[in-house]
Amino acid sequence: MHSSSSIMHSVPAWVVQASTIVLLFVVWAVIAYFTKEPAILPTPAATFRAMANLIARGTLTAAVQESLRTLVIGCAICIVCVVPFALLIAQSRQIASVLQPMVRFISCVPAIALIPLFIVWFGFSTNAVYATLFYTSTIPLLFSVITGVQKIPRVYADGLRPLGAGQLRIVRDVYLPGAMPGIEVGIRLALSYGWRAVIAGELIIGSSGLGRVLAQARASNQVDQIIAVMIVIAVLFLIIDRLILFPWNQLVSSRWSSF
Amino acid sequence: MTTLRLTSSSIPALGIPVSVVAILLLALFWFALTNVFGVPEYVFPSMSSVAAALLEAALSGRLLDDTSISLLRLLLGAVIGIVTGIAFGFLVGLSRTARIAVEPLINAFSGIAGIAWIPLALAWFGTGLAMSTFVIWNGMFFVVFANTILGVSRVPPAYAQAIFTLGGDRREVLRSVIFPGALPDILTGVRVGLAFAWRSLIAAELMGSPMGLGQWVNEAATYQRTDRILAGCMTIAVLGVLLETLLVSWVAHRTVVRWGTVAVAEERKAL
Repeated sequence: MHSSSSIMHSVPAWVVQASTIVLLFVVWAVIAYFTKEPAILPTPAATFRAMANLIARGTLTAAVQESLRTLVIGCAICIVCVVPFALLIAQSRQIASVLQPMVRFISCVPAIALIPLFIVWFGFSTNAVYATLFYTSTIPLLFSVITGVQKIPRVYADGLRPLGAGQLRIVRDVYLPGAMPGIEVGIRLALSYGWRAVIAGELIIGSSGLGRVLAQARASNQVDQIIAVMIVIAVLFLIIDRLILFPWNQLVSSRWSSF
Repeated sequence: MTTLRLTSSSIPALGIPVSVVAILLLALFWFALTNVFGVPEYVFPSMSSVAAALLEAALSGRLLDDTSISLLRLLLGAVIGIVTGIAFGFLVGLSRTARIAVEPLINAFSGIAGIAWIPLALAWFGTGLAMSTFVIWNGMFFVVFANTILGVSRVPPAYAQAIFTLGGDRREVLRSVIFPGALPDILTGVRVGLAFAWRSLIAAELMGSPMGLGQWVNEAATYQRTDRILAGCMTIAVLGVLLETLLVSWVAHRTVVRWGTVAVAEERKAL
């Protein structure tokens, strides 16, 4: 304990964290070098060559665009449909208290198990991926927004009403700004769960995007391409999470989180 | 991990009447959809044909075979995942430097959802038991690992120091302070991990494992039998809920609740 805390005082956290990543690649390189089985574990160099090849052929860049486009459009549709609906539902405690367990029961069915049904409905198309994404993202979004509204102290709405505010005014001035942190959490969850749903959907449906590249690499047993695509998926997730969602969360909570 | 709790698919600790009302309403909607509005059977099957499909599978023994194979696969991978997750979590959680060092690894690996590992697992292990075990282990390990680290780091050092003062050694502290103190977080990790692992297993079975509930749904999709798909989905959902809520809360009641590490109300919220 004592020796580790003294290390912490002298070395900044990011150096420790960067060295972990470097160590991971070194261990991988050493294992790959000694097993000499490129069909099972290619070296990091071979993996990045495969990645460079996929980029040069345009496969990878097109797939990243397709996956991101599916995620953004799907989540946008989801937000436009679900947020107003959830704000409406949350107006009545009774409706919300019956609807929530209903949605919870439905959400017990994993999206993955429903993919065959979506395939029957939409064929092996991107629409089936959209259905998977919509099903996955709706649930956290709906719950977060309803929770966000229910956290608003009732006195705010009750205080405006005697002053002559109509229901519309109360929704605009109390519920919408008050539920902002809840909406923000919901959108963040919808995007990060949605990203996994997009990859899983594309992988099983094989219509487009990074999931299809992964499925094709699997079909031709090219492990270097499989690992290359997995690295791209992880890096994109980290970029979405750290560079977009996290700063946005800080912004929203400093602007609207007043209680 | 709080964000994961928020969307847990567990049934909340609601009064029974509300859930009963919710189930009845859902059944009513379903009935109205198929029998009143006349949505065709091949698009969305009626309740009676899903029940018939379920009964047929149960009578032919297929349901029992597939369920037991899926559960056996889950059990094997989950046990290995839980044991390795807790063991490595303790090793790392006890040192602050190690905790900071593994953080990027946990982030990177949680970014690659369990399902994205399946192609690699298929390439490495084929479609046998080793593949499903790897996929389930992978779904469980990182969540249990991350939550064990969190739990270990949250135990107040004063408790450990008290045992040291009373003459206890390091093993004593681990057994009677750190482990019980970290167990609520470990159980959360196990619950979330089981949910992840169950989904990953279904995906692995959809993508090629012979037999199992996922494969059953996959075959139903090949023949466009939506009644069988929904029957399979409902079986998967019920088993998933039973596993992640009842099993884990049963363990919680015999451990952390009895020891008083968490109160019953808090435990309901946490699990």
